Amino acid sequence: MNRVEPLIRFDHVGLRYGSGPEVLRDLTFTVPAGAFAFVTGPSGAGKSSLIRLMHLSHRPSRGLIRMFGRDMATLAKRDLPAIRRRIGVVFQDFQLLNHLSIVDNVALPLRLAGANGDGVRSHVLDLLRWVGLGDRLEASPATLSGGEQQRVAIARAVINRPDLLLADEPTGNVDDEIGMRLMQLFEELHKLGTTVIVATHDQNLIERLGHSVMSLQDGYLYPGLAKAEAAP
Amino acid sequence: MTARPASRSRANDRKIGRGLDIPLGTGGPDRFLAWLLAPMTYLAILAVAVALLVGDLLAHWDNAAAGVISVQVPPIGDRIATTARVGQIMDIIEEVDGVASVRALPPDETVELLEPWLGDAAILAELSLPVMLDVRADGPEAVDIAALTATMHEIDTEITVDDHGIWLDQILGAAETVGAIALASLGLVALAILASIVLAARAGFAIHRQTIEILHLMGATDRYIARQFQRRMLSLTLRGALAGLVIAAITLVAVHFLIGPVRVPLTHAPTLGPLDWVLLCLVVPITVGVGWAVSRLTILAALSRLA
Repeated sequence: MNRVEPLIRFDHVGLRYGSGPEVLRDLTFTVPAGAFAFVTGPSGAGKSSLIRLMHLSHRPSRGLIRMFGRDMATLAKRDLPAIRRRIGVVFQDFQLLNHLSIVDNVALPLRLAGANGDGVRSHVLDLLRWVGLGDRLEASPATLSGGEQQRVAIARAVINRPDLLLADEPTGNVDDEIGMRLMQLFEELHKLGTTVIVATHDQNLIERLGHSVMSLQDGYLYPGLAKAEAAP
Repeated sequence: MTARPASRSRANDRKIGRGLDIPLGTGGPDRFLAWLLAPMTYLAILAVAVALLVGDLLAHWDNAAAGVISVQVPPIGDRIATTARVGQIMDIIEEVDGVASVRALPPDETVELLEPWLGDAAILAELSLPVMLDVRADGPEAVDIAALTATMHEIDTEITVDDHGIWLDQILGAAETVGAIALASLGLVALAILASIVLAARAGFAIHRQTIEILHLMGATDRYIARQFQRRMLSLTLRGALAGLVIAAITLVAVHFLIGPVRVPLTHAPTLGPLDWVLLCLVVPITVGVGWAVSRLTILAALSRLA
């Protein structure tokens, strides 16, 4: 019988910044391809650090990480960009490029993947209209409100239909209506096969959507709750 | 019919991603690079020009002096006796191995040669001047100068034989020193250009590090990021090098017109030929090419240290 390899496998992974204490400790879990999971926990529990490990901006201090069937410890540096282009990330602090317009920010992942032309333009404009920014296309991200910046960051993360979507508190700065609309976008991507991992401390959101939950506390991961258990 | 919002219309019309993803040139120190490169390229072009002019001078002097011997016969008695003696000496010289031709300079030519050093030609014409024999050898060392001098001294110890070796060696040595200094200056300027480009690229990297890290995390390859710096460096080095070339060309043309009329007797006035100007112009693409390659290597090295 063929065993399908999970999209993400953490094996006794730990992370410390510099010579400080471990912020993630002995994490062992798998995320199958096509899953939708929440990472939750109180502030300082290590949610953002876990997201950083998964979008390959940091290397673990110990343990092994396998993603997309590749061992990250032995992955050549030249192979990293191709892996990163398969991951869409919504950063907690958005990480938008203020010298570029909103359109160019959202188009960036497509351009980095080598796409250009009219198809890119119409695709970007459609998505920006869908997230409610159709009238701010040429604005600099610096002139937008926090909620608007968050929507740009989400549009940029999903524009190239990533295999893995990571979002760090994606609804933290938007009202409930926009928040639900963005989560609806995540759900649509999930239905299309994207693996979605959302770090949030919004219990209402978790309960409303009812997906798997990975709970972090003091850097430790507690066993994932089943969908039924997470639901109200 | 409703009008579209202006921003939407502009975004629809324009092409996405026209500019640099890294805002190079906005607030960074690299904008001063063109100003730095202009004088450096100017100095590099002048150094190359000096080296070329010295080379031209050396080649001319080598050719002109190769196989040229001057024999100075002092006058004896009256002009008829001197002429007879000169004829006898010319016959002897013509028989020497390696001698191609012998010619006695006419008195007016001798006066013309001496006029810059001794003054009024009319007075010189009245003086009893030695007769100059212009001896041409088959090649640079075809004639045994020592043997020829001994033969002449058997006739009259006052006869002098000069193959211009001593002064030519000194002048050639001085010219070669000037050429070497010009080339050394060129090397130093080239090093300064390299250092400026490396520093500008590193400074740009440090200033825009956050943007570079974001691009990296989104899957930009090192080559993609390096290309952004290369495009910027191409623009800066081209502007700086072209400015340096224009100023250097003006300087060289001005020098040509200022020094050109000054004629120094017995010397060759070196000039820059069309090929020399092509070589001088090549400094621009070489500078641009070096800037392109060095910025690429600098940025790739910096990127290799990122996670």
